[in-house]
Amino acid sequence: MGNFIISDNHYHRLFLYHQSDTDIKMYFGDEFELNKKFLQKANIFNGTLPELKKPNVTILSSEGDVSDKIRGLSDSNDKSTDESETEYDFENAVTLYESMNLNRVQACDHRLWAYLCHGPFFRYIKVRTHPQKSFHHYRLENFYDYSEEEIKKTIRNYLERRFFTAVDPRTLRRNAVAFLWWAVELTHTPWDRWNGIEQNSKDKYHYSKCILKDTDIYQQIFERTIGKEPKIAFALLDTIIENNLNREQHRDLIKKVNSDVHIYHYSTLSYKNIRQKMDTLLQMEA
Amino acid sequence: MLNFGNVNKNFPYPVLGNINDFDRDNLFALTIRYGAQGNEYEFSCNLRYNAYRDDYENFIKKKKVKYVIQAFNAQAFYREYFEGFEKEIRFNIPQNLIRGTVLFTAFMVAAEEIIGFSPIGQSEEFYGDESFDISPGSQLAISNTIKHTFDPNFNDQNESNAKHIITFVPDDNITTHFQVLQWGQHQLQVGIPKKMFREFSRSAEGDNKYFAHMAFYLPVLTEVIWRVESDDVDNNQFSELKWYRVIEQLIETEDLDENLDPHVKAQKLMKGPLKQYIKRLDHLMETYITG
Repeated sequence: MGNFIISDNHYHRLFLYHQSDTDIKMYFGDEFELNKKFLQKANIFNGTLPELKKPNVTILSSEGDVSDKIRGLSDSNDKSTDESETEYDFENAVTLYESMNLNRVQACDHRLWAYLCHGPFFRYIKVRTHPQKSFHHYRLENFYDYSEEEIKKTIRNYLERRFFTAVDPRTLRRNAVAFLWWAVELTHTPWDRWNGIEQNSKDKYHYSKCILKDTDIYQQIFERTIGKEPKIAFALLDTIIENNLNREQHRDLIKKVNSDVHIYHYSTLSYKNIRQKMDTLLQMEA
Repeated sequence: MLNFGNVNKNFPYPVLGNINDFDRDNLFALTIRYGAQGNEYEFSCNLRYNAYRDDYENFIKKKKVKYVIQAFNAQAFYREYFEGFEKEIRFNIPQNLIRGTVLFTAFMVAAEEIIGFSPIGQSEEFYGDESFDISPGSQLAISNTIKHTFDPNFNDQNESNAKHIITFVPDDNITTHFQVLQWGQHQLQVGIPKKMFREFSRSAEGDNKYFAHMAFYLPVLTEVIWRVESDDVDNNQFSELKWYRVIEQLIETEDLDENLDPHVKAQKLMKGPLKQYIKRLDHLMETYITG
């Protein structure tokens, strides 16, 4: 199990299940009954399928009023720092990354993530993520009990975002499994992979740890064009880490850099010059 | 001569290729050719600006300014710069690094500080006879952006086995007509009523395929072209899908008159299916009449 993707001919059919009132119940159980005809062989894992640790969140507990429990957990506006949900993200990300035999072209193929999310990691996604809107959390299994169309739509959107991806960085981040792989791929040992990046740590996952601890940094840097340029992305990460910037401060700095690159080609400069520019922007902020 | 310009932005100094920054001789154009060999795509880029423009030429000779080609592929998080001091720049990109739409733009970038920069023909209205101190890394010229699409397979990432962008499949849910089942997929699946599918498949083989081309492909392709050329948001959301990009690129490559109706463009992209269709129809009629 594990070395498959969804075949082109059947992807559409799989995609339609969550849109149908009858078929959506396929998502209610602990396993998704994935039709074997839908699968196409592909070389994905190096060896055995890795086990991803599930966070200790009671969101999908089979007893009790789940939405009340979750409301209790989520008074904060800041979902991404909820440690109970993210506690194993870094560990899982490294485990998954090291077990997979993928390149970037394969890793932005929607058929790969659709298979992994409906196959081996179906249960993981259901525990790690859950339907929610405006701080209200809903239970997937209660789909038929909700009378409001808006809630049903929230659940369908949840299934589409968490179990499928499109081809853009945003949907790859929303997908709980793709997110783990990409977070490591984009940030491990940059000093060995690109010219002009200074080695600031002996830990090959130094930066991966940082962005998996605060997904807002990941989102703010890697979903923007500047995040595609390693020289800029890692100089930014260094500036954020060294100056211990909080969310407001790092967002402000990233905005300024983003605006500055319309005039200056940071990537043609040395790391030292890029850091100088960023430090100047940081001073301006203060 | 004044060209239309490549971008419309606000810079604190004149940038070649930016609309309104020059009163004349503002050309800065990129052309690009590519091929695939082994596991890599090979690119050859050429830059062009007005022949007697020796201001930029001198900066390049002194290595105060360099040419830079930016390759940007959002989908696979790839953005890289290739630099040089010649107007032709060649580079390779491994095939396992890019997928989908890749944008290529050329720049001239200051390699070191330039004091008193004041290029020939700078817009009098915007810049008068001012000169500017330029710091390293500043953009001095921006070219047109060229778009290429790459669709490698999952395992064998080469260009030879790309799938068709339109395919026909039997469908249980329709009984009277054919239709595109889902526009939001890379490959467009056209549903044919299941009960008719076997006959449909037979009619699409051999010389009879020209009937299928006219009756099935042409109307679907016409709508595809209409959607690609439409400005509305609903259709623009498909812009990263394979069928959209392939048709967009074909229209660009064929350089079709933009005033043509979508059904005419569709026939041109299909290399004129009408003639073959009429010939085949005539042949069948003759066979039928003469027995």
